[in-house]
Amino acid sequence: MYYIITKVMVKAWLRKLIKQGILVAPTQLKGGDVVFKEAFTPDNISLEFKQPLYSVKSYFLPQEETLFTFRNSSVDTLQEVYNEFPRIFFGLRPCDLKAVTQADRFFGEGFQDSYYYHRRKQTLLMVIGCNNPESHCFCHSMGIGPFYKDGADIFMVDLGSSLAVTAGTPNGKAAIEDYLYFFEKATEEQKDEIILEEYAALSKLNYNMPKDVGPPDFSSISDEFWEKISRKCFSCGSCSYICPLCFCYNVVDRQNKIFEGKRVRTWDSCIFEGFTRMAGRHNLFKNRQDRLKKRFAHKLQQYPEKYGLIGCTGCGRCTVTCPGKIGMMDVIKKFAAEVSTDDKK
Amino acid sequence: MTNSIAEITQADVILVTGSNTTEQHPMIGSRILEAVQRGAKLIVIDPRRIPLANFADVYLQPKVGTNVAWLNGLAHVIIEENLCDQDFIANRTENYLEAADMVKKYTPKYVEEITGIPPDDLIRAARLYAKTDRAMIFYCMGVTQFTSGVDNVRACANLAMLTGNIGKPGTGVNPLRGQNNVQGACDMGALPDVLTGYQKLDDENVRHRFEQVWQVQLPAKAGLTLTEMINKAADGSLKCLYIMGENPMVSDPDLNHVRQALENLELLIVQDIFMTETAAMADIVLPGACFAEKEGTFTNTERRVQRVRQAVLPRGKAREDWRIISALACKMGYLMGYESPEEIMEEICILTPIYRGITYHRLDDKKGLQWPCPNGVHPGTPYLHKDKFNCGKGKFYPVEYKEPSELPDENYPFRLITGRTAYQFHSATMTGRTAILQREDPDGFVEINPEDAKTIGVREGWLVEVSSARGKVVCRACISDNLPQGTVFMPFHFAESAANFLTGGAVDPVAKIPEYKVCAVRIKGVG
Repeated sequence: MYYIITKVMVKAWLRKLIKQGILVAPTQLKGGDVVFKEAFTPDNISLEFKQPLYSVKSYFLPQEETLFTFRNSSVDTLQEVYNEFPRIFFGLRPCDLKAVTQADRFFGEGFQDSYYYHRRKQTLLMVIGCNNPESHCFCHSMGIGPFYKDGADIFMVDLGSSLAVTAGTPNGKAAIEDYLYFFEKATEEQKDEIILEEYAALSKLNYNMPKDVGPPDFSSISDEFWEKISRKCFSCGSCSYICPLCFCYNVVDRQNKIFEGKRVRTWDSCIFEGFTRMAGRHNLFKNRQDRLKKRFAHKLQQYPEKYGLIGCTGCGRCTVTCPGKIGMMDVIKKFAAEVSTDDKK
Repeated sequence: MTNSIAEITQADVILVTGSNTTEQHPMIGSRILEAVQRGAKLIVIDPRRIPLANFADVYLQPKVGTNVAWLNGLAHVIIEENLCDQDFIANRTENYLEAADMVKKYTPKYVEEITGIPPDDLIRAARLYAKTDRAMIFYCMGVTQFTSGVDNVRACANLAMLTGNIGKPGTGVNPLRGQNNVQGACDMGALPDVLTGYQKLDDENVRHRFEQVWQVQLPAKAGLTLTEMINKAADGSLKCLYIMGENPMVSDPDLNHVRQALENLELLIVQDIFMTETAAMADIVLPGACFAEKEGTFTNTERRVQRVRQAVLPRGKAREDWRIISALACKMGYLMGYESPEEIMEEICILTPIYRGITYHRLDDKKGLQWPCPNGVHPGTPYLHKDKFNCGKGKFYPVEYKEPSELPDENYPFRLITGRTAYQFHSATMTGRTAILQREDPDGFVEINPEDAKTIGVREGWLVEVSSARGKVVCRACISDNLPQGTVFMPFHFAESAANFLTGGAVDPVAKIPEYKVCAVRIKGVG
């Protein structure tokens, strides 16, 4: 069931929703970059829906967060620190959405990470379909697609001067139906338009990454291939930091005040040598080639084994950020090219 | 840089020397890899086999400290094989004959004796560099931090002029600046003999203009360079030092000498964002603001002036540097009444011809402006020396190879190179406080060739004592075949095993830059 809201009224609607939480929405910074930013009013948010530079990962797993504080070297003084603001995420892309629902599994199955869940349970996810994928996007080859909406509270489609909106959860339904006076019901033509927009987006994605070039079977990739690729790896870790599906973290203790310490969780990356280094500087993944191979093994093999899906949403951000130009998309394409030349031989 | 980062992908040949580009300037390293991918030829000349050497068409491994010899050698081959750009030399340069005369004796054979570079490789590199219209030279501290630093740079410039590889897109002599705003600091006259925009202090007209704006009398005498200050402090003729955002107790050569010098001062003021090794010695510490806490501009390695904006307010008692300096000036009786960084930028525009067209307003909607930008509608200058050199004609300076100030001998048989690692920055004031970066590179080490390690009798990870005539440090041995036998490498970031206890105080006679890149050391196992 799609409702239509004109873009003029979107900010008025958000002004109502914002009473329930802090708005996080794509915002254009001075200098031109678009990023997800917290806002207390919807005035400055961008309704052009370009892909923000970073995903919303940092709102669920902050780059650095304090887990608890302690004083006088005593366990009795331990105090957990929760960051509990309700947040409304507006303008998530399907790739970002998939990352959040996957994070739910990562932090929830088996052991439940209470820090993550405190944040997650107070969120409203408003997802926008991608009419205009960037040239580095390839979500369709990762089983998602430009109008993927599983798990979204609200899913929206940009129809130029208006948005088509539909609810996916009871929370999303309430966020629309409580303010029904902003909306009209979608007409048949508008419903057709939604389908056309999706097709148009898909054809752009197929241009980025042709249908027959999918994620490769990891076990078929030779070590020589990884050797060649890894020469271009700077070990900077930006691929993991920017990846919406990389959740590895490190935990360290720091001095907070003179007699107070804090335990801090920070982002980490398997591309760093220290990630797998053990006592006595032993390391099973000593060189770059091994670490790079391990990263891709995790995404292309262990993810499917454990979760039944590939550990990549096809957002393409690693392709943009990687200084050696060996992001996921480049690796898939390079491998495909290698296989096809081998076939010709 | 004479040219721009965006031009790297237009170059046909790229010569990288004395720069571990992919680790120390990763964004530029990234562009170089992109150029190579597109078919550009890469020449890497470095005593350390750096990662970029994997992509090089020609990789030469000279002995450390022999830059002038092989640079002259390249020039020799280019002249002998008549690969020079005769038109360029005739129309745009002067003093060619003297330089040509000087390089005559640097035959590939003679160069091999000094540097160890096989003659055929040298000839290949020379042909590759000379036979194209678009060749860029990149260099960094591995060229400048020698007693022959100025000579090295002149020899690089000679090479570019000889082949006409300057004054066009995708060419040039491109020194890579080591910090985000070191270019900006130099532009603003943080040098002893110039005012902003490299206007000479001894030019009376220039001084007069500044005196009018500042309403003070300016001294005409050039000040001291950093290395001279430390020496003067040691001999007692310098009484007070005010150090901002610098940590000489880790980053200056011969740290024992630096400690004596700083202890000898009557007053030491340090302004920094953390309690550094140097700040710990200060009489007064002034808490400065970090990059995210201030407004202003940074000027990057390609002369691009870019706005920085305050993201968070300074914490605690920290203040932006300009506020601290203004307040201090007021206390000392000079009313430096700036109200905002923008007001300071306006003064920079008025007093600095190369910055005249750079205003906050223009920096707001563009990705910065590259100086020289002489007026408010000028689009900035992507590459220098187009059609004409700034000084008129490009002058060839004949340079002769001189040995480094210290060579290995019986007591100290190894040549030590000091440098950096990818994860620590400079004296680790900031990166050492970042858990993940500190974990990547937690402590000092010395890179040793496997054969040398065998001779010394140490293995990977063992502790060794490295000593020079000036001091000694204990650190971890790291066995690596990236270095030739007889040469070892140490990063200088780590205060506990600071490589600069070993380096010497010898400086370049012109620029006064210390010879960080080579000194003689002895290594033995510990315990």
